[in-house]
Amino acid sequence: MHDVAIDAPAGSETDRAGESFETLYRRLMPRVYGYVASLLRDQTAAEDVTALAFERAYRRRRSFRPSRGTPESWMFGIARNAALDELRRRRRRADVEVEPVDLEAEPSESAETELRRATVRTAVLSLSPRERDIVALKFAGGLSNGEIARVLGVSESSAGTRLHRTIEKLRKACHEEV
Amino acid sequence: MKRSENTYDPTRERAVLATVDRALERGRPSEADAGLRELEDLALALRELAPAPPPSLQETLDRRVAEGFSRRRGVGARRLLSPPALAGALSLLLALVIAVPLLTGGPGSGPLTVAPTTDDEPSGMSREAVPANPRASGEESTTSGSGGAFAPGRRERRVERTGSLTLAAPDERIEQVADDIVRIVDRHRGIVLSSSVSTGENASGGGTFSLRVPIGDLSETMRELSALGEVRARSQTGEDVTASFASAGERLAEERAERRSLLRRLERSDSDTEAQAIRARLRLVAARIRSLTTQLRGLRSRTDYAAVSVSLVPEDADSGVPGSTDEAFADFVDSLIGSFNFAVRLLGVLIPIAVVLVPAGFAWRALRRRGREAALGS
Repeated sequence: MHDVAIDAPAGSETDRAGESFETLYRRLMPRVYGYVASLLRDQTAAEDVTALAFERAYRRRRSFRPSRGTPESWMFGIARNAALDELRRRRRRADVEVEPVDLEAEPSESAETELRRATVRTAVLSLSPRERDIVALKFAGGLSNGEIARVLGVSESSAGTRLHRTIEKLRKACHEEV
Repeated sequence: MKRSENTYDPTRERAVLATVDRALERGRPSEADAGLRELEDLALALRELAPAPPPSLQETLDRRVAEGFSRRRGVGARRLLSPPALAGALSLLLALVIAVPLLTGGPGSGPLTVAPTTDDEPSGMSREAVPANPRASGEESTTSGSGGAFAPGRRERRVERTGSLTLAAPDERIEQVADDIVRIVDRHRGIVLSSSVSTGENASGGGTFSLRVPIGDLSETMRELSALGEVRARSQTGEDVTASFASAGERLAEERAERRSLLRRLERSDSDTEAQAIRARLRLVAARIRSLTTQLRGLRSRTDYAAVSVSLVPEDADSGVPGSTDEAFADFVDSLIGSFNFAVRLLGVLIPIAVVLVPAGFAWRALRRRGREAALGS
């Protein structure tokens, strides 16, 4: 059974079975970058890893099987592997990384918004790398719980439980900050 | 630790996750309940924290996607040196090493079945080389060997040669071709050691010839014989027996020297007892000299004359020309059996390799995944 959905070369229109790689790239690139940058917390590394992830995805696009998950879970699986390889290669943990520039508050924003962002940012920093990973997949990557489960290789209920615990921990950390 | 942190409440979990999903979908808080609204604010704030890609990355990636990610220099080489690629290459090499002898039938297979030879043969005339598969039309092979020791340094080499030929001729020409074979052998001062020719209406004709041809005329004789009919199989072998020849000659010289010495001692012997003992030893030496002389004569004969066997078969026998339905069916069955044998041999190679490689592949993937997950810590 050949159920390839991402089969068309870059720059082409959608193919008979699904969207073209270029469409997928345009749809997912900001989310993939947001996820990778949140995980690595290093803008330069995030750019390199994002580019590498899309290149890998392009080379393996014929291996995508819709029966094994959505294009999002497939793409984020590749991106996560690339990001973890980068973390391993540099032999540094996400919790000792410098903060990316994008996480800084915009000067024009209101004081209340700025305060809320700072509180949440501090709460996120209190999470373990594994917890930050699931938060990044959910909120930066915009994945559903089922897609997160696919990416992490766990059941959907397990992914939901992990996410719920992390959110509760974040909420508690925000209360403590305030 | 507080009780609330350890208690699993599926209803609350579902409510929290649903509230988060709703807030992310709408992009704004909508819950009236203060607790849920706080959750929505948190979800939206977390999404707002996600960094946006810089324009430079967007431009670069846009271009690379449009170009189809043209391969960068060195990437291919790195991929070739990756563990899976190396494992694949090694497996392929291993499969080839195992498969080639198996699928070709082993190193000992071939069109020739050569009877083993020993230096003790009284004569080289018993050595024959016959085609193992005379049905193979036009088959030809040449083998040679030194038989182990090769006596370096000797200028005059002694090489034992044999030839084998299967000729096909029309039934009505069998007798004529048989006469031509004898004529060619005579012209080259060879010997027809034995021959058997059958012709007639009731039986299909054919014949066999055991020939001895002067070693220097072997190639020319084979060429002329081959011209007499359709060559179904042809082979020539050569074996350097210089070492055996030299060894037998040296041992003969030694035995002769000993005989001379014993004869001198016999002349000088003083008593009958001593003379009898010397005579007994002389008899033993004489027996060894006879044996070595016979051995040398046999070696000389085998290296002076090549043993050639010729099989003469009627042209329509085993020619591979399509005949009756029975023959076609027999060929069909033969082909099926051949294909089955090939498949069995192939499986014999592939299954053990798969038994090793498949678990190794799973183990390698599991290790790689574990290594990646370790980057996130516990």
